[in-house]
Amino acid sequence: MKRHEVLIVGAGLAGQRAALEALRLGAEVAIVSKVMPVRSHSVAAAGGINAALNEKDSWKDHAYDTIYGSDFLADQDAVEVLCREAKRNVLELESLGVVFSRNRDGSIAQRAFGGQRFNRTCYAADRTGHALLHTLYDQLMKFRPVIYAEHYGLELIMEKNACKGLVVYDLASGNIERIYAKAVLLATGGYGRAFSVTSNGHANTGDGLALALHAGLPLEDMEFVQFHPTGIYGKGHLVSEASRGEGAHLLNGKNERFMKRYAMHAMELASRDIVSRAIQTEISNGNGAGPRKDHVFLDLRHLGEKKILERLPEVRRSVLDALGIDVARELVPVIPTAHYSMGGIPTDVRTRVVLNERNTPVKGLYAAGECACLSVHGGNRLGGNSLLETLVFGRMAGKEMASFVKNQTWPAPRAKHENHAQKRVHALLKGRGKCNPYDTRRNIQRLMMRHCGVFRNERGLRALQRRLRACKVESFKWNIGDTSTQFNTALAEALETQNMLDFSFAIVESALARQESRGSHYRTDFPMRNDAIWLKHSLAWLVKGRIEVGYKPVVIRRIKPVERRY
Amino acid sequence: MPGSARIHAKHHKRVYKEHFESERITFNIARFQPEVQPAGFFQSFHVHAHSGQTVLDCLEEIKQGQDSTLTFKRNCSNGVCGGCGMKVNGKAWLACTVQALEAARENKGALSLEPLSGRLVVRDLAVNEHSFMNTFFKGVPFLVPRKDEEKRAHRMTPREWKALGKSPTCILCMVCDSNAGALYMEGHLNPAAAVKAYRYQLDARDAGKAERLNALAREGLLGIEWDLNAANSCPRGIFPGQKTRALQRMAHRKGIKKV
Repeated sequence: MKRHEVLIVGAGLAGQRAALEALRLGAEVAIVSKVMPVRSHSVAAAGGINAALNEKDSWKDHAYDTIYGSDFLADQDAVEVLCREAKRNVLELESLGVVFSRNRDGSIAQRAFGGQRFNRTCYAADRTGHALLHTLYDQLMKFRPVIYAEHYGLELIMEKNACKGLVVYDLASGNIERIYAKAVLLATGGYGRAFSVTSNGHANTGDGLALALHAGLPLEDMEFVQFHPTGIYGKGHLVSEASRGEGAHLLNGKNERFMKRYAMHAMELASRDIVSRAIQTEISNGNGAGPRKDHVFLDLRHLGEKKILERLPEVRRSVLDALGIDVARELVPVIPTAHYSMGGIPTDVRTRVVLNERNTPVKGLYAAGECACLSVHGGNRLGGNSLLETLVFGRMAGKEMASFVKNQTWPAPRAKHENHAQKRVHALLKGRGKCNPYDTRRNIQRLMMRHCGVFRNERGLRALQRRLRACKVESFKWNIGDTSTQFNTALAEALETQNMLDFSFAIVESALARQESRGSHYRTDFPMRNDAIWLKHSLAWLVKGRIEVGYKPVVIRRIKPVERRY
Repeated sequence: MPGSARIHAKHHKRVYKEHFESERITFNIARFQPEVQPAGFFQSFHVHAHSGQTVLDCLEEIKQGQDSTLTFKRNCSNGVCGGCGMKVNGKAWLACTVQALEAARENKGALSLEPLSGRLVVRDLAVNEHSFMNTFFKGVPFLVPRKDEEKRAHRMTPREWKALGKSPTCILCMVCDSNAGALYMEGHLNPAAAVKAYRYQLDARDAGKAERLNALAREGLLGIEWDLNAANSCPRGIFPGQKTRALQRMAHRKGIKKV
């Protein structure tokens, strides 16, 4: 048994930013991460981070673009905080040592990004996430917090709507341990790996969402999954939106810039949901490229080698590594790829996790970053806003937790807290059934991509529901084939697959219930947005093995919903 | 359109799956299963790899289809997280950026995979990274803000920016560390720590340069026992060995003596 004042789950940008803030304010902090700290997937974020730095720009315009881009599902009080705090957070990171790209006069350079009317995306070439994460890690190491790297979170320790810590599985020793804490932050990132084509890393399996779901907490707006328009064909790796921000074009199999039919003004820089749908529509209309007509092309050739080497070096390297194609000379085949989850663990504007429609906070439990749903992204996130979210709300969570833990007593340790987690792990280790957990995982990923992708309909979702239930039955007959206690990654991946299965049900049920099309959630059987009924957030609970769906209202302040056009 | 048709034909060969070349390649993988057998051994696996498939993709295929006890680390699979460093045909590199077919052809159709050297092997291809990460603690591996920061208004001239070069892009993948080929103890300077120090040493916004150089000297900058040339192999093209030499020159200029 161990105990720490503040326990942060996840060592990506949100987690590290929260840790730094809490440490600065004098709290004692420990971080749990299932990978080594700089391996978290924040490191792969490419394009940039939005902030209204320019005098001609204002945070109010940024807020408007964000709310408009969200298809008006974003909570406007949260968006206000996000955009107002943006400048301060970006400049603070700059003075901590982030090497942003520069204008001639030495100020931070900003580029155009999808769905925004001003060039307000600050960048460090096309490795902004890397620059931010490594700088934060360096600063964090000054304080030497305790880091439990390669530890998996198994279960939250909950007592009467208060969170008291976390049960973890130590990959290196195979031990199951209780870590008690006065405050716990979930900053575990997204779940792109639940889809077969994804830009996310192997670790993005939505474990934090499963922790919340298993603790009886709801998940908000799970039907909203962002598909990034430009994933590398056959792989899913991201070709950053920065490429389109710098002027790249999308071409279909007939070599035409098809975006003019879908977003006359913004063209390739319309919001991501619209571009992804346009690509998918082109493909299903037979205008795709290649022998199977199943992808389109991204054209960067006219940008010139100099600009590509200076501003998009990672794009060039990763396409070269993946396909052997030089983007300066050849077209890149791309398809939409699962990229980001707008939904997640519902929190209030102070990052406290809430447990019902009335926004009652859970004592001592916080969430920030992609795993949280404030909701600042609503139905669709703008590129450059996710890095911003991790910094603004990571910082806020750190501050909130540091002041919360001051007058809290230590939770009472009880051995029974780990019983359930023990059983779960032992059942997996002893399982001698006929099913392979990797087959189940692949099945889930394929099914989710096919029936819960860019376009959805009732028939597909019902089929998906049935087949996911079959996967669930399969999961009781697993044989993971590795009984070792040392670095048992087969066990870890089986745990991840269990998690994946549980929140996938929440995605499907929420998507089935929402009979309209909004943002990234597009129902071919209900193609219109319907504000009269559906201008509300969905909440999904896991009750006795079944998902129950409820709703809560959207916070609307100054900006009234209108039809969205780019 | 003839232009686009030509382009498509070109892609046709290289990108599309049905035209992928596929070859059976042998993976000779160094296994270390402390609970089964205290000594390490080599085991062969066979994979039908097609062009475009990386070594990491093949490892995933083996783990998922042939032997789930095979252990390795990875995350992003795209060359930025630095998690999948291992020795491919004897040379450390990132498994997710090595094309399996190409690497096999260079070695008579077989690939040997071993864990990075110099670090404790946990299991199979996974090494203990804690000792590597901990070496960063002592050498002031962070920016010390200047007092006139407010006046600078977060500016950095293009020249100052250019001076930093590639060194801020280090991903701490441990490849240079392994190739430099020396056994480290916790708290000793490794090439990646030198790159980190060098990056802050050149940063115009930093005020901790003297302090950092002294700390580096205390950690043995001037008495380095690993191979500076071998340390230059780096998936990011940073040349950690050169950067270490540059740091040594800086120390000489400041008259810092070997400690």
